[in-house]
Amino acid sequence: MSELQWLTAIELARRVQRRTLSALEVTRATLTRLEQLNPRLGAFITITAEEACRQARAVDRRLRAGERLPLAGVPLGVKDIFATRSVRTTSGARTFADWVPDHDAAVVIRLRAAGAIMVGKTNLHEFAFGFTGVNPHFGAARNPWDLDRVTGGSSSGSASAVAGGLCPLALGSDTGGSIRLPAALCGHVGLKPSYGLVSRFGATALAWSMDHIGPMTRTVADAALMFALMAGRDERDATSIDHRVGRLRTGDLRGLRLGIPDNYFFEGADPEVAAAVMTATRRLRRLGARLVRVTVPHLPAIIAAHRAIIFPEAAAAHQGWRDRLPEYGPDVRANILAGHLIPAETYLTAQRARRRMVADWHDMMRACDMLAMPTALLPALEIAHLPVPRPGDQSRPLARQYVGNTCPFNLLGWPALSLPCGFTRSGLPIGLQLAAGWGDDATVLRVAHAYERATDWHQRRPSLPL
Amino acid sequence: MIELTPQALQRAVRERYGFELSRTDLDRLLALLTALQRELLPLDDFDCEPHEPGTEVWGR
Repeated sequence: MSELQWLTAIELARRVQRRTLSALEVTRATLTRLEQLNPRLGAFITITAEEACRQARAVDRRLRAGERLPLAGVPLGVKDIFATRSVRTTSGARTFADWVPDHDAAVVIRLRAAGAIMVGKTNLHEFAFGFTGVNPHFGAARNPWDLDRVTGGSSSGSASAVAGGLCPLALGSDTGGSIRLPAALCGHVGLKPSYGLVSRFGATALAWSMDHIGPMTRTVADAALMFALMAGRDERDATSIDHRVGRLRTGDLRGLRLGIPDNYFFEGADPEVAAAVMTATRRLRRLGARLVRVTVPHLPAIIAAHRAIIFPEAAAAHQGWRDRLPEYGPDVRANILAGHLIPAETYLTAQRARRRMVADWHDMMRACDMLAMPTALLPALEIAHLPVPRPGDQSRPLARQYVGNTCPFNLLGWPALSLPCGFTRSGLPIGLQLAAGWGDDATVLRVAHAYERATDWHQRRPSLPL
Repeated sequence: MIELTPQALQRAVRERYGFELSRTDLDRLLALLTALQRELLPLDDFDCEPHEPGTEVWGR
């Protein structure tokens, strides 16, 4: 596995399609590495070894029968918020520790149909309602670059698995930054697509109007492929639509206007983070992009609207389990109770404001084609030093530092992607966030791909002795 | 928003959910709501579009 573990999904699938490797060989090698590393990384809650081998044999049979499978034999980690038939789906909660669904989430069905092999269910912040990835029931997923540090959340196990070389692809969900933050802190690629492009069917809801499903991968090309296979109308999700995703476009960036916000998004950034992101924008300029200063409207009101929506929607989504609230971890319990206590009027005002915010952001985008900024303002913190809320706290600085730059795009429903753009002096990954207007996922991927090809950050590997 | 005192929060939780919060839970909730109250302030005077959420043509 020493060679296979860092291959891209596209390269692995190519070898399996050409039969230089079988899906079963890849799966067995992956399971061996999982067995060795998962106890230290805490990336997976459930490992589905037997089922994975069964799926792998089926993929090998399908290939022999002449099927074309774009993800033939590629190991996949599935965030444990996605329902999987006959495999327990915990949502990271004690409440669902033994729930075994009778159906698969839409994205699981699509990726398996493409030949991906689910090797297990990945850890997450309980109910995906938090951004540290520290889970009181299943333990913290660990950052492969420093096992004492957070991965970020909520798709913590997916990030740990991808960055740690346990699998090249993982599924994530993102309501405020839960794909992009862990991707940034763990040094890989995470895409939150435009709202509506990927079916939410079978994913435990956090906040319906801002929940997004997306790929977590080590390369942009893998993210583009995985996204293309996941996207498409699904009648079981009323908000999902058909939208042409297309193939990943390559080439230089001549003519592209890259907006660099002169307000909010760099405020309070760690100097090493800000410097790495600005260096990345200069690299994009050398690739042909024209840098344009933009002033982004409605900040911090847009953060207020995000908060006024996520907490009440989550409280409503959890209404049916309210007698189980004492089982929840303390932070998520407080989040749900807070959602109950925010007035309905505030929620509706936020939804009204949201329409205005989207319109004004569209106006801003007349000056540029996409935006670049830090994904998170800080690199990964030590788990032992995470702040604990105390009476008298007037603010939540970590929420600003970790998801303040990501959550606006959940409110807007616009595509946003994080990819590695450097490391701190102490060796921690730094993420660059690229975002565009609704439906322009292809441009986000094209620019990210051009940057990735011009740099080697994505080729760096954490040291994880077996 | 609800009055941010331990007594008011404890009462609201008891009435709605039927259990008592521990002192630690109460402190955590109080801290979160205090911070959220500040975070939500920019919405107070926000000039909204004449958008009317929830007014889709139902039953069509």
